[in-house]
Amino acid sequence: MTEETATRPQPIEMPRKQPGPWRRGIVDENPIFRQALGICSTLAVTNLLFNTLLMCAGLIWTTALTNLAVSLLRNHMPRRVRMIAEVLIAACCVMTVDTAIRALFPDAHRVIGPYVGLIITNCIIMGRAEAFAMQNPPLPSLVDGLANGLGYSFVLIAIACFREALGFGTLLGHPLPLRQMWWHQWVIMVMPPGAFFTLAAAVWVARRHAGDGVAGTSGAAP
Amino acid sequence: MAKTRDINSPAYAVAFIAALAAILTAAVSVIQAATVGIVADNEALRRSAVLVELFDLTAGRPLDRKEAAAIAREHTRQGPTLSDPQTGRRFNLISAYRQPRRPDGTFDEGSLIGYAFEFEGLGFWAPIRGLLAVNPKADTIIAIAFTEQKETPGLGGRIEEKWFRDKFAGLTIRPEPRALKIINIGLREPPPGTFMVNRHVDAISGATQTCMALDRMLNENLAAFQRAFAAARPSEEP
Repeated sequence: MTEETATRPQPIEMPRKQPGPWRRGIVDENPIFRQALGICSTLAVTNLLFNTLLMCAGLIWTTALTNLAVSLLRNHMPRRVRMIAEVLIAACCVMTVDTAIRALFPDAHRVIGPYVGLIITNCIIMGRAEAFAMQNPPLPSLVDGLANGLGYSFVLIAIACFREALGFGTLLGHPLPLRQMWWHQWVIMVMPPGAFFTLAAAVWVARRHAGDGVAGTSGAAP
Repeated sequence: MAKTRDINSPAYAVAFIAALAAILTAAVSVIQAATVGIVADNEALRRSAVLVELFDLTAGRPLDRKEAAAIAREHTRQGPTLSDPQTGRRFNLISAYRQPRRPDGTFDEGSLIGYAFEFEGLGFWAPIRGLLAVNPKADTIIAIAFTEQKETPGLGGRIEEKWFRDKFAGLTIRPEPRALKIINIGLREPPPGTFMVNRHVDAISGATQTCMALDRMLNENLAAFQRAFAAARPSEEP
């Protein structure tokens, strides 16, 4: 402790209540806003809300089940092969999602099929399995997977609503009210670059709202 | 302590992964086997919808897949089958008619719109498959559709978009002895007045590799089809 800090009166720190797993996954540790995970699919599938909903359902399913399975097996899993096992479990979940979408939503599968397969590479899955499920019992792990999947989903759905409305003038394929009067197509919102702008704006709004200090504006070192 | 040592032994690790892989593979196989019929039905419905769109059997009126399947049944028939004398490749033609099937199951041959055949080849990432519709003389493309492709979304994947597919309508595909290719998909337009003018499609910017692959596969398929068509003359068949 330096002399300066020893003489300066320190503020009394009140014990803060730890946020619950739902709030942590959806808000405080949101995978996209806070951890910058899963950005690839955020950019890829968000030009139509329906495709986004399918992608979100797939990711929630995969994250939750992978967390649950990894937690159940954690005491029997050799550490040296744990990541292989986690990938195997996640791949199995992704293949069930892919098969279900192929059978039930063939048109959507043709559009988002390549991205469904890429759920396996979504950092949220391995990140939560390694960081949480390997150290915690099954039920909290399941909740953690669901909460992180929902946190990811809320951001994707918000971006998709914005992009589909501006890019196509529709929501879930239904024309928006009085769109002839106000809507003019923003082609860029249909194209991948539209996702970059929308995501950046969404992250900026969310972090400003949360009161985060930003390097260069708060005086913090970059 | 003994338990920890056992779990971390190489033999246990190998057995654990093998057992886990076997269980998960079995689970996935069961799910895929249970849905294989649904997936096949979906493919058949999609194929019908593609045929209806290729030959514009509803004059642009949008239909759901089941309606499209019914119209495809009424306006198309399988056959004849052609064989390329040079490579032995077979083309199962689908004949499309403007008038629906008669009660006795025959068609008015005078209302023949054209033929469709499947083409396939290797794209940039994975195989590309589709259907090509040609007129009864097989010298002009009516339309093209892609039934399977896994090209880069937003780049090569744009070959499926209507604006690109519409560029193929009306292209001449009559064999041309002076040309190395039947059609050309590229960035450089042929000089005006040359025989390649009505055989050219502008490539998609940013999708050069996919367009090159498409150019190669379509020329190979069209050359084989033209040889098979010339050998069989299906328009003279009953």
